[in-house]
Amino acid sequence: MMSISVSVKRKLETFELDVHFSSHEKIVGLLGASGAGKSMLLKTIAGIFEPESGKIIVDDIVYFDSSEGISLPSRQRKAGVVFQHYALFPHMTVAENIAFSLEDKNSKENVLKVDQLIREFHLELFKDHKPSKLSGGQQQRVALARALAMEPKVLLLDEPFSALDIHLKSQLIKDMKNALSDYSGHVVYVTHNMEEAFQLCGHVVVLDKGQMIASGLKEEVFLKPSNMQTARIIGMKNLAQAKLVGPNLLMVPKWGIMLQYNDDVIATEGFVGIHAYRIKLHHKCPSENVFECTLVDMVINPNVHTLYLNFSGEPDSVDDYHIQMDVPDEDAWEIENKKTVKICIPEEYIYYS
Amino acid sequence: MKKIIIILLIAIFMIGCESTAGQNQVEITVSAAASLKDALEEIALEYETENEDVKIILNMAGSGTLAMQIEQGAEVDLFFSAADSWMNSLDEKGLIITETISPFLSNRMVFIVPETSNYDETNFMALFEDESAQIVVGEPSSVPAGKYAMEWLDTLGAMNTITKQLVYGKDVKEVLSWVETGNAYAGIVYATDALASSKVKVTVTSVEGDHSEISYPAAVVKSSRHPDEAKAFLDYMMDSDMFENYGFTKSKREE
Amino acid sequence: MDLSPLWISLKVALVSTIITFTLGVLSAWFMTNYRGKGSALIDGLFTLPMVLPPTLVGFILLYIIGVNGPVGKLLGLWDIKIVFTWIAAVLASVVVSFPLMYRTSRGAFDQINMDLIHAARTLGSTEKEVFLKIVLPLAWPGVAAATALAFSRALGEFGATLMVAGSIPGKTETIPIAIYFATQGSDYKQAAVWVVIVFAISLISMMFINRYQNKTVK
Repeated sequence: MMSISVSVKRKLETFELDVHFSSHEKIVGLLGASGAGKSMLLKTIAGIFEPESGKIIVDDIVYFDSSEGISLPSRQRKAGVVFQHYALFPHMTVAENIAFSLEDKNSKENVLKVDQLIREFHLELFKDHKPSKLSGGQQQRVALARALAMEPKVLLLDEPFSALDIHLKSQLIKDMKNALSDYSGHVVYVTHNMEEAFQLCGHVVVLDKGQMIASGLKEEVFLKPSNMQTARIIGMKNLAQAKLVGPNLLMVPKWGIMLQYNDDVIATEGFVGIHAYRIKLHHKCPSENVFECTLVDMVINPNVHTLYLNFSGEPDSVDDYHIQMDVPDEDAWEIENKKTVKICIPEEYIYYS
Repeated sequence: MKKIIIILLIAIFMIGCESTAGQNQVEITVSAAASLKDALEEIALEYETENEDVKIILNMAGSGTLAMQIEQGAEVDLFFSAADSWMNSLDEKGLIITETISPFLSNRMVFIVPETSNYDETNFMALFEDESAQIVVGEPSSVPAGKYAMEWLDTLGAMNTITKQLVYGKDVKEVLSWVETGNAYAGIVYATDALASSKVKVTVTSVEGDHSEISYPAAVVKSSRHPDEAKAFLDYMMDSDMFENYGFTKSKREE
Repeated sequence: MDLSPLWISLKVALVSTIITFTLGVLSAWFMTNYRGKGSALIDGLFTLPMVLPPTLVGFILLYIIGVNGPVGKLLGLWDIKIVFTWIAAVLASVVVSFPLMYRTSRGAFDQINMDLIHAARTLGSTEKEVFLKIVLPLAWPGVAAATALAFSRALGEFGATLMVAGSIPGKTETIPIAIYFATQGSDYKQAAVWVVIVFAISLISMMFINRYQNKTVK
């Protein structure tokens, strides 16, 4: 069975990278904030940098094993990389870039292969152009085609969408999904965007300052984050330490409130997490966890108003808020000019771990 | 780091200032041919000791370069050339106080070989029969020693055979050093140069008639700011025996 | 007029530029990748001949390749003497122009985005392929400029050359040496002719390099 096993230690400027994971899933995501060490991890898998110690094994081939003194150079790893800024060779055309890894570029099969990739990625119009003439999205496709031309064992994608416009993204993510489904090897996908990670990956590894704080199938990691850092990285905005003080009753000291809660988790201590879009105006769930909060600040976004609320009546400043709440546009009139907001927190959306 | 640089600059500036702030000292700049170096240095020191209000500054180079400098207006008080031609050329251009021209020194040319050479003294002419034996001399059109060397070779009748063996240098010191290091088989330099070196041996010395008279004319430059002091030093040099200690000969010409 | 200095200068400058180019480019690439212990020292050593007065360089070279010097003695075993030959002139030119080639090429290599090199490696290129297919073509404008500088320097080299090769008309008398002796002997007309010739050569080579440089950059 296909498997990828990575265990890496390497000192970086401000922290140490210390990660190990293994998975049979086809697409493994490395999720974390910028600077968490994800790119470096990717590059050690590709053979661009060497870990100080560890083991990297892809489909039973040992790429790196410090205890045995094995360290395959990049060119022997068959690891295709799509760099964050694509790293297309500026002095070669699109076709030449794609064909770069092929030994005999003029052989019948290779010419066919390159043509096929060009068609697949809709690059026919640009095949004789130099990369500088292409848009970001087109360059990304060339980079991907170039890596795939090598028929790599593992495809390493370093924040492939970070350099592109947001409005193109959803279409691009769909295209990426299609391209990846045709590919039969492993994929390691680095991103700081949890939506990409959730949509595309099977196994997710969450990194924070070089340390691995979560690793598992995406459903587990996203829907059941096991610690506060992971919860934060996957987008839960409202997090705080909590104590189980009675049957289905949680006390949250930081917010100074008690929450009714209806799951079976029995841990006496842990943290609560509530997504900003799960908190409602009180009339939507009038019998569940109703609170009158002070409106400390409000940010108006294109489709949603984000309210910054404080559970007590005396906030010190505009930054002294406890929770964030997203109110959809159509309900915004209800909070117009109000100093306090009455909210409710549905029990089913309180996450406690 | 900045501090260190500033301190260094101040130090350099002060040292520089000191050397030119010689309380009421008269500075005489003497532009002299390189071959006069050692003798001149000693005699200048002697003169300064006896005349504390005078400081001699020596500017040594090839005579051609020195003449060019004077032509371009360099502030020089005394010109001490290794050949008549440059002195005459400057004089024609009106840059010299003609009455002060004094060709009081002369020299001989010598054939030298490296100290360790196995050169056969009894067979001098064999030198010119071995094509691979390189003979170094000064470049004749620009270095006086080279000119005299070529004249001598001509007198010896070697000119036909010798051209393939000749290597030209830009000054006598260079020629001497080539022989000293054994890179050349033999060379022709001034007798004074050979005397000063312990790494060469003299095989033949030239005699009168072998080449045109070697003359070291000295004169006061017209633009000099201290012509009297310059002339005083010139007279001092003419009376001194110092140069003979270094192998120079007093010239027979009286002017 | 005896045109031999022209042919000698061209011969010496061209040969030395070829050697300097090869040595300079390879050492610049080596040093770009080498982050080991003595790298600052090696870099300093490579740059040294550029800051030393040419006469001093000539002096040191003469000591090394002279008949009694370490290399000279070695060559002497095969009866080879390079002092006073055009080979010595080439050597002098290589030594003084190497730092220019090295430093300028290194500057060009340092400008290359490392990701491009990493990409080439992951795509299966050997180090030699990376250098020839990616690094050199991308650094070409800088490397071409460096070559032009090295050629000019070699063409104009005087002090060190004279010391190790002497001036032998027809064999080692280069144009700069001819100019020097002409001016020293007050033959300014002759000197001027040579100056014009050198100027013309430099101009032509600059134009040539410019055209070639621009061609490969698109």
